[in-house]
Amino acid sequence: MDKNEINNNRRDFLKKVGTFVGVTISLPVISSVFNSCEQDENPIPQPPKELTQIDLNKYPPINTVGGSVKILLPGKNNNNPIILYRKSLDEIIVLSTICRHAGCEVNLPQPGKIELRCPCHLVIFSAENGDILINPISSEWSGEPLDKFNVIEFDKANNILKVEI
Amino acid sequence: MRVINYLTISIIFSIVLQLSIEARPQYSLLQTYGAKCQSCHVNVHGGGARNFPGWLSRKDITAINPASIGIDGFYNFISESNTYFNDLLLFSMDTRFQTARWGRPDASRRDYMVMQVSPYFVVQPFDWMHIDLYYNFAYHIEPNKRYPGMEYYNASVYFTPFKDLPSIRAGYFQPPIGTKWDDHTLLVKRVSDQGKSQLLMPHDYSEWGIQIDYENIDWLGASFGVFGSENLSKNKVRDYIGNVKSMVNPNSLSYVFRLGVYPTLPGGYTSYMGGTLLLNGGLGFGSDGFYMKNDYLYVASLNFNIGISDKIALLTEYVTSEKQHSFTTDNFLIELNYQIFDYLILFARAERATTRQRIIDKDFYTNVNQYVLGAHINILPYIDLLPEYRIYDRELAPSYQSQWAFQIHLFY
Repeated sequence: MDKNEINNNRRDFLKKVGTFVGVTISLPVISSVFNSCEQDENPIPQPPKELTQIDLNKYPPINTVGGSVKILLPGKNNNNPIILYRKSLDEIIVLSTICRHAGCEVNLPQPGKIELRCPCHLVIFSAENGDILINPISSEWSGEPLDKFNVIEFDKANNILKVEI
Repeated sequence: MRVINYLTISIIFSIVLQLSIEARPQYSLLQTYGAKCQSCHVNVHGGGARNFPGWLSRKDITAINPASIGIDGFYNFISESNTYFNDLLLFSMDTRFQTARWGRPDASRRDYMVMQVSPYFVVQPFDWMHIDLYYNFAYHIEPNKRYPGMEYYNASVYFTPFKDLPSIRAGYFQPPIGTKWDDHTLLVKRVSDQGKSQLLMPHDYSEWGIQIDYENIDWLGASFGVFGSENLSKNKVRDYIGNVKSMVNPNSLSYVFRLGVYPTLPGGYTSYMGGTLLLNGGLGFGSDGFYMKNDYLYVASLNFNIGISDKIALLTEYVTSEKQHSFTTDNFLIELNYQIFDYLILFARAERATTRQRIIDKDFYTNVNQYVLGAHINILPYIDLLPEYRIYDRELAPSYQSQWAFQIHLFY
């Protein structure tokens, strides 16, 4: 190996080391540029919640314990349906149908079951409180429960539900 | 040293391989092989397997000369041709790895996704017949990031018994609906909503069907196809009283029409225009003429595109759709591409989507705007980097969502 060849090899080696060090140093800079100028949109402002009266006589499935029904109240819940679930004779749960992962609409539970299944990514929520029971995509989404609405009064005699929604 | 370089390239390829049928319509205006999709693709509607001219048109496009970094041997090895055994077999490939922010616009998070790992095989045992096969392995790597109706494979057979007559395609494949893009976030293919944007047509959408294509005149392309609706029916919509139901009846048929005009212009100008129509639901005939039967869905698309080869491509598309008793959409897209070098194309895209949803007795309108600035950088042959800055703005929500997205696209 002559002197020129050794010099060339050394130059080649130094060039490659320099490139490697340069790329390594610039990675954090690239990453910070990557995350700059990023922002999330603000949530869509919701109209103030108001007391809404729901006549349960129109929805026979809700009159038995474990029964559930989806209903649509124009202008409420972003124009998405809500779920009414009869937890017990004295308690009715009111939930949003919208999964907060990708915005898909969850299905009603099978008769006698409490599982609300999101058809998009198969997350399963409890109809009793909206909490997540099974999250098969926990690696990408830590999970958020379904929105739950406050029941102010349940008039069993007339089968009328008053909900803040 | 060369062995190490080959190894490095092989590792890059295999990493990304560990990691959809897409098209880049701007290339039909920027290159000089002809504006028809079939100039570069096997499919008359574009996307999927590149034919020999399609492969040839991109194979030497690169920012870095492979010889300057000692990897020309690797490229020489894979750059003979994409057809083998006297044109009996054609091999093509797309692999895409992407990072972007996913989720609701008001609560998104950065994620990394293997979008596509797709080999394409086209087998042509006879002059009058070829078989087109596609499989996206990424669906098995990332099954949770797919939506109902998306399909990870297709297979079809093309018959061209007579050169001057239309060809027939039959099998399980994507109907020609709208311009074919390589971006899954385009608003033109969505039903924009207040919470999220729902798919109008699933990406990587395929159905059993049969299609007649006529491409024998240079300036004209036309297709008519009849397709099943099994995958389209997996896409759910809400009707005006709040019931969730399938976008279409799974047992119904969809009729798809495509018409494209590809004029020859002087002075390096290139252009094409046309439209597609998907109609699901029967046509009836009454005393007032033809009418669409209940529960219909239609998706109509019009496009107009003009450019100067090797310089500029201006693409526009308007998509309107209606699902009876549920929604109507009016979505518009315009995209300007400017080619600085053959390996560097800058682009800017603006979209506006309007959805009208009837809920009981009221109409609700949603307007969404999306703006994207980006670049296609062919850093090495068959390797395209795609940095993008995206702005997504729902008019009902204050402020907007903005993010960087980045895609590595390996193709062959």
